[in-house]
Amino acid sequence: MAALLRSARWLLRAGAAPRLPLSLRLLAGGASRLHAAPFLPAARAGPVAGGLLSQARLYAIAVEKKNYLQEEPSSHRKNASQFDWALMRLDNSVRRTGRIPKTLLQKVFDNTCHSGSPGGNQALLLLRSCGSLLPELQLSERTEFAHRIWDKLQKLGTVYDVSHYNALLKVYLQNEYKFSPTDFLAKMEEANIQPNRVTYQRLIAAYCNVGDIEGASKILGFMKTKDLPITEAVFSALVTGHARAGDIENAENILTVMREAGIEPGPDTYLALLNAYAEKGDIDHVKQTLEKVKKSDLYLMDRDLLQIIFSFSKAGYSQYVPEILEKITYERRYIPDAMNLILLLVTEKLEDTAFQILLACPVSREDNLNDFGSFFLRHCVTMNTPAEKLQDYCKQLKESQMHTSPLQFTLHCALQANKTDLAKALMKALKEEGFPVRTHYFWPLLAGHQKEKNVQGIIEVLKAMNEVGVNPDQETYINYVFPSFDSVRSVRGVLQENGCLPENNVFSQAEFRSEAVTGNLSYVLSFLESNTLPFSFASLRGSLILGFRRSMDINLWSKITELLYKDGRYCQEPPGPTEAVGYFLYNLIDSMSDSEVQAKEERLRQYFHQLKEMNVKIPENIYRGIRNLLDSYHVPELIKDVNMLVDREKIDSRKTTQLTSSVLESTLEKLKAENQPIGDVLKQLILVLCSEENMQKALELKAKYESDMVVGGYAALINLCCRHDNAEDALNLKQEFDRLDPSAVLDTSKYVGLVKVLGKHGKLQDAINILKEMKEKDVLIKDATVLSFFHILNGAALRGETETVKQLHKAIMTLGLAKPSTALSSPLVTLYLEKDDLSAALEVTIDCYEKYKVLPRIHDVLCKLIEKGETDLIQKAMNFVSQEQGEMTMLYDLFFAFLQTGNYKEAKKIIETPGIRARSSRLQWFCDRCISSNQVETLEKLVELTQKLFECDRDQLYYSLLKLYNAYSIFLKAHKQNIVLNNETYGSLIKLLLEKDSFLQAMQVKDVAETHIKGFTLNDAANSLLIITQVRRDYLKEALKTLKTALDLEQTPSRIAVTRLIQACALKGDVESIQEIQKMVNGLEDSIGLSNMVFINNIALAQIKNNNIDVAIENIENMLTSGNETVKPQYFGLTYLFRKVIEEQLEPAVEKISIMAERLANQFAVYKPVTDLFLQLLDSGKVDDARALLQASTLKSLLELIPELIEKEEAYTSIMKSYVLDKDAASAKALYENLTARNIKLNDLFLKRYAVLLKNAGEPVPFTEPPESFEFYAKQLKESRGNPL
Amino acid sequence: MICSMILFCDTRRRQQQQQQDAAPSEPCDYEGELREHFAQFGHIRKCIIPFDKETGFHRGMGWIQFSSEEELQNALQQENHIIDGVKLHIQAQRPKILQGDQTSDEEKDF
Repeated sequence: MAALLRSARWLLRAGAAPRLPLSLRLLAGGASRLHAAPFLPAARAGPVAGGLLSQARLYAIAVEKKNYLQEEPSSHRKNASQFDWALMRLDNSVRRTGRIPKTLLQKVFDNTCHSGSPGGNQALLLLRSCGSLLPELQLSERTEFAHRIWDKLQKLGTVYDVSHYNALLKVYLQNEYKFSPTDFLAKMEEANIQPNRVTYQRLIAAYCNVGDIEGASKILGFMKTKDLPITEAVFSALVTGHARAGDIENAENILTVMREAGIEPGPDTYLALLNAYAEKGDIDHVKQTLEKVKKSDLYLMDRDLLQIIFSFSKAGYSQYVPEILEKITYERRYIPDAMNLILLLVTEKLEDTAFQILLACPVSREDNLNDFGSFFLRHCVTMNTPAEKLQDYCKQLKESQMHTSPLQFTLHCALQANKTDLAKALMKALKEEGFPVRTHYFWPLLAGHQKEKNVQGIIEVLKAMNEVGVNPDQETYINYVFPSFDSVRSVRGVLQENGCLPENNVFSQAEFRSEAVTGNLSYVLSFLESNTLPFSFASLRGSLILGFRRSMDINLWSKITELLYKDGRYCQEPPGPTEAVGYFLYNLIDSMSDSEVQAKEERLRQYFHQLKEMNVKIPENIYRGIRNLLDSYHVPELIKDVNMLVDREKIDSRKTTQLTSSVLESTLEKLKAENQPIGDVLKQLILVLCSEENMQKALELKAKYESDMVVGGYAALINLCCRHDNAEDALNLKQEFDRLDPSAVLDTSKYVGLVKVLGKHGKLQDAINILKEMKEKDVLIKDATVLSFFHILNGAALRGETETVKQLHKAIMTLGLAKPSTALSSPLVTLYLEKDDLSAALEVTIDCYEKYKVLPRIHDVLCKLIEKGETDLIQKAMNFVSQEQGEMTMLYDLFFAFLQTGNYKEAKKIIETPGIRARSSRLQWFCDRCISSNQVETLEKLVELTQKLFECDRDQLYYSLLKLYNAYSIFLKAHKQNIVLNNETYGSLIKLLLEKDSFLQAMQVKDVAETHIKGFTLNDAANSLLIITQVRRDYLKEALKTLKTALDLEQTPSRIAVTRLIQACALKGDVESIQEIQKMVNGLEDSIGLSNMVFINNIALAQIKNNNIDVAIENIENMLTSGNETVKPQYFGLTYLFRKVIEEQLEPAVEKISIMAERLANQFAVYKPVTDLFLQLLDSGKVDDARALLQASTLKSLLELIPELIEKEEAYTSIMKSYVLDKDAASAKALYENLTARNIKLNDLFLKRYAVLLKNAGEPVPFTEPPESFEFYAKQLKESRGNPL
Repeated sequence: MICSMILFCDTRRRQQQQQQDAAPSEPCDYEGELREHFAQFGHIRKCIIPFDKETGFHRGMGWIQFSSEEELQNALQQENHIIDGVKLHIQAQRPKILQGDQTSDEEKDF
C-alpha cells in the first residue's frame, strides 16, 4: 500500500498540481469530502453561496454553453428557464433552511418530467439533491429517490455522461449506500462511459467507508495505470478506510505518507482523522488533534465541527457532544447547517443530541418575535418521537424563551399528521399547563375520518374528547360526525352504544339543525312538539329559516310558526312571541333574494293568511321593516298580506301622538254634524287607513264623503288599491281623480303601480292609456321607473301573458317612455323560452334586432338550442348574428353558449378559430356573469381556453377568477402545497390584495412570487397601486424602488401614483428623492400626464421643510424673472405650495412667500402668485392676511387682472378703505357703482366709509348714511364673520 | 387557536357574503374566547373565524369588528395578544382604496 502511494509521488510532481484550483474542483463536482459524509452538502465554497447548488450553477453554465450549439434555440431557451427556475427554488430552500424538503424536490422532479425532455444539467441538479440535502429522509429512502429519478429520466431520453455517474456515486457515499464498486464500473462500461479521476476517487471512498483497504488499493492501481493524479481527497478517504478497518495507527500514518508524497494534509484530511477518532469515542485524541489544527495555519469550519458531533453521536458517544459544541464559533452560515444536522439526527433517532444543538443555537430570544425550533418539533412528530420526550422539549424551549408556544405548535403538527394518540397526549399536557383545550383542536382528526366515513375512527376521537374533558359542539356533530354516517337518524344509537352520547342537549340541537337545513320540516315539527329540552328560539332561528326555504310545504310552515308562537316552551319569555315571531318573519324574507320572493309570492301569501287565521301577530315596527324589504324586492302586493298580522292593540297603546283612525272618524262625524269643512280630516283619515292597509274601510269612507275628497286622498287610495291588486277600484278612482282635477299629476311610482295592476288584470287598453298619460303629462322617468317597467313586463312574461307583454312593450317603445334596450325587450323572448318554444324565441330575438337593434337573451336562446340539439335553429341564429353583427360576434356568442352548457370541447374549437381576437368587453361580460352566478368551473374553463387567444388581457381574466375565489386563501393553499402559480396570477392576486388594502398579504404574495419566478414583474396598474399603498404606509424608499422598477420595465405609472410619491417626499423634506424622480421620469411627463409644476411646487416645499426657505424662494423668483421660463407665468400655479405651507403652519415661510408674491407683482408684473396666495389665504380663513396682501398696493393691477375678485367682501371692503385713505372719491364712486350694478349687498362699514368720503369731498350721499360709528360697524362686521351662521 | 393567525380588525360591516346557504353556525368556544379577550378594548360587533371544513383547521385569518375607531385603536395599540398561549397578529383592515385613477382635489390644483 505504502509503496503504491510513494510511487504516486512522481506523478504529482510531474504533472498535476497538488491541489487543483478551486474553480476546477467545483466544476468537477467537488473533489473534497469524499469520505463518510452522510451530511452537510458541500465543499468549502459553502459560506459564499448555496453549497452544492453553487457548484451546480457553475456546472450549469458550462453545460449550457455546450448545449447551445446542439439544441434548437427555442427549446434551449425553454430548458434554460426551466432549469433556472428549478435551481432557484432548490437553492433558496437550502440557503434558508439548510435542506430541501422532499415535497419540493418531488415537485421540481415532476415539473422537470412534464417539461418533456429534461436536459443533462437538470438531471444532474436533481441527482445531487438526493444526498445530504434531504436530512428528513431515511438514508435508504434518499437513495431510492435518486434511483427513481435516474430511471425515470433515462426513460424520458436524458443522456447521462460521466458527471451523472459521479453524482450518483456521491449520493451513494452521502447516503452510506452499500454497493459493489466493481459492478458500478461494469455498468459504466456497459453504457460506454469512461470513468474519470473523480469516479475513481469516489470509488476509493466507497471502499474506505466500509473499511475495505484492499478494494481501495485495487482502484488506486487503476488510477496509477491511467496516470491520474492522487489528490488530498484520496488520502483523506484512506484515513477513513484504515480507521474503519480498525487500524487507527495506519490511519494516522497516512498523514506522514502524504507529506512524503509532497502533499501537506489539509482540513479535509484532519477532518477525516477527527471523525475516525470520534467514531471510536476517543475524545482525548479529538481534542489533541483540534489543538494541533488550531496551532497550524489550517482552519476548521463550524460545519466540520458539526460533522464531528454527528460522528460521536452516531457511534453512541453523545456524552462528548457538549465539549465540541463549545468550540463552535457560530459563523454566519451556521444556522442552516445546524438545522440540517438537527434534522438528520432526528431522522437517525438521535433527537436528544439534536435538541442539545438546537438549544445551543444563537438565536435572539428577547424580542419574542420569532419562534425558533418549529422545524425540529415538526420533524420529531413525523419521526414518531415519543410524546413524553416532546413534552419535555417543549417545556425547555419555552423556558429558554426560544419558542413562545412550542406545545401548541407540536399539537398542530400532530393534528396535521393525523397522529391521534400524540395529539391526545399533547392536549392533556396543554391542559395541565393551564391552557384550555378547544373543541376545534379535534376537527382535523375528525375531518380525516369523515372523509373515509370511518365510524370507528370518529367514535375514538369522540371518546378522546370525552377523556380530555371537551364536549363536542353542534359544529362538530354537523360538520364531521353526521356526514360520516349514512343517515343522521342512525347516529344517536351508535353513539349511545359506545357511551359517547352527551347528556346535554347539544346533540339534539345538532340533530335538529341538520334535519332543518335539509328542509325536513315534518321532523322539525315533531321534534318541537315532543321536545322537552330548554331551547332558545334564537338558537333555532337560523336553521329554521334555511329549512323553510328548502321546503315549500306552507302548512308545515304555518304549523311550526304557530307552535313557536303559542307553545310555552319557546317564545314566551320577554320580549315575547310577537317580537320573536315578527323578527323571524323579517329574517326569513330578508334571507331570500328578490327573485325567490317573486317566485314564491303566492305561497308566502298563503302563509301569511294562515298565520292570520291562527291569530299570530307581529309588532308594527317589524311590519314596516318587512314592508320595506318587499318594496325593494318589487313585490309590494304582499305588503297588505303582512299588514294583516300587525298587532293593532300595541299600536294604540304605544302611539299616543298619532291620531288613530277611530278618533279621526269621530272627529269627522262631529265636524260633518256641525256642518264644518271636513276636507283635511277626511284626507288624514284616508291616509291613516291606507297605512293600516284597510282598503275596505277607506273605500267606504270615500263613497260616503265623495264630495269632500281632495286630490291627495285619491292618490293615496289609488296606490292602496294597486297594492291590494284591486284593478277595478283603482281604475274608478283614477277616473274620479281626473274628473276632480284633469291637470293633476300623480307620482311616477303610482302611475307605474296602475300600469302594473291594470296589465295584470287584462285591462290592457287602460294600462296603455295610463302610459299615454305619463307621456302627455311629462311624468319624470327615472332609471328606477325603467326598471319597474322591466319588472312589469317580466312578471307578465313569467305568467305567460303574451298579449300583455307585447302590447305594453310596444306602447312603451312607441310613446318613447324608455329607450329600446336589451333588458326591456328580453321579456318578449322570455315568453317563449318559458314555454320551451325555442323557434319562436329565436324569431322574437331576431325581430327585436330588426325593430330596435338589440338582441335580447341571445345567449340564453343559444344555450337552450344547444341543450336541445336544435342544429338547424343554431345555424339560423348564427347566420343572422354573423350577417348583422359580424362573424366575430357570432363566434363569441357561440363560444359563451358552449361554455355555459359545459360543452368545453366545442368551446375550445370555437375560440381556436384562426383569426379570432380578444374582445375584452365581451369577455368581461361573461366573467361578470360567472361571478354574479358563482360559476367557478365555467370561469376557470374560460380562463383556460383563452390561453392562446390573440391580444387577450390575461390579467383581467385572472383578476375575475380571483374575485370569485377567496383569493388569498387560494394562494395560501397553493403555497402550502408548493404549487407555483404563473407571473400573471401572482400579479393579479397582488393587485387584488392591494385594492383591498391588504398590504401585508400582498407583500407576502410578492415575496413568494419573487422566489418562484425569476424576474417576476408586476404590470403598470399593479405597480402604480403598489406605489400608492407604499406611500400611504410611509414606505417611501420602497415606493421609490417600485417606481424605478416600473420605469426600468418601460411601464407608464399612473399620474396619481407618481404625484403621491412626490408629495410624500416633499412633506419629508426629501429634495434628493424628488430630483431623482424628476430624472427618472424625464421625457415621460406627457405620457404620465405630469406637469412640471408638480416638481417646482414640491421641491420648493421640501426645501422649505428643510428650513431652506430662501433657496426655495430664490429658485421660484429666478424661474419667473429670468426671462427663459420653462413654464409661462400665467400657468405658474403655486397653489399647492401655498396651501401646504399654510396648512402645515410654516409661519416664517408664509411670510416670506407673501413678500415674494408682492415683489413679483409690484416689480415684475407677475400676478399669478399673488392671486393664488390671496385665494389660498381666504380659503384657509386667514382673512386678515389676505387683506394685508391686497392693501399692499397691488390692488389696482389685481383688479384689472381678475375683475370678479371685486365681488369678494374682503376685497371690496379693503379697496374702499384704500380709496378713503387716498381720498380718491372718483374711484370710490366707480367702485360703488360697479358693485351696485352687480347687485351686491354692501356692508355698513363700506357704506359708512363711502358716505364719509363723499361728505368730505363735498358730494351728496346717494343713500342714508349708517348712523353709528366706524368702530361699531367694524366690530359688527367682525362678529358676523366670526359667526358664519 | 393552535397555530397562529392574522386577525383583521375594522369598524365597518364586512360586505355581506352572497346568499348564505350553509347552516348558520353557533359561535364555537374559542370564538367566544376571542370575543372575551377583545371585549376589554371595546364592544365587539362581530367576530368571524372561518374554518376549512375539509381540513378542520382554521384558515389562518379572522375578522373582528369593533363599534368605534377608538376601540379599534385601543386594540391595535396593545403589543401582544396571546390567546390560548399563542400570539395573535392583528392588523387594521382599512377601507377600500380608490379604484383606478380617481383624482382628488389634491392632485388637481397645480
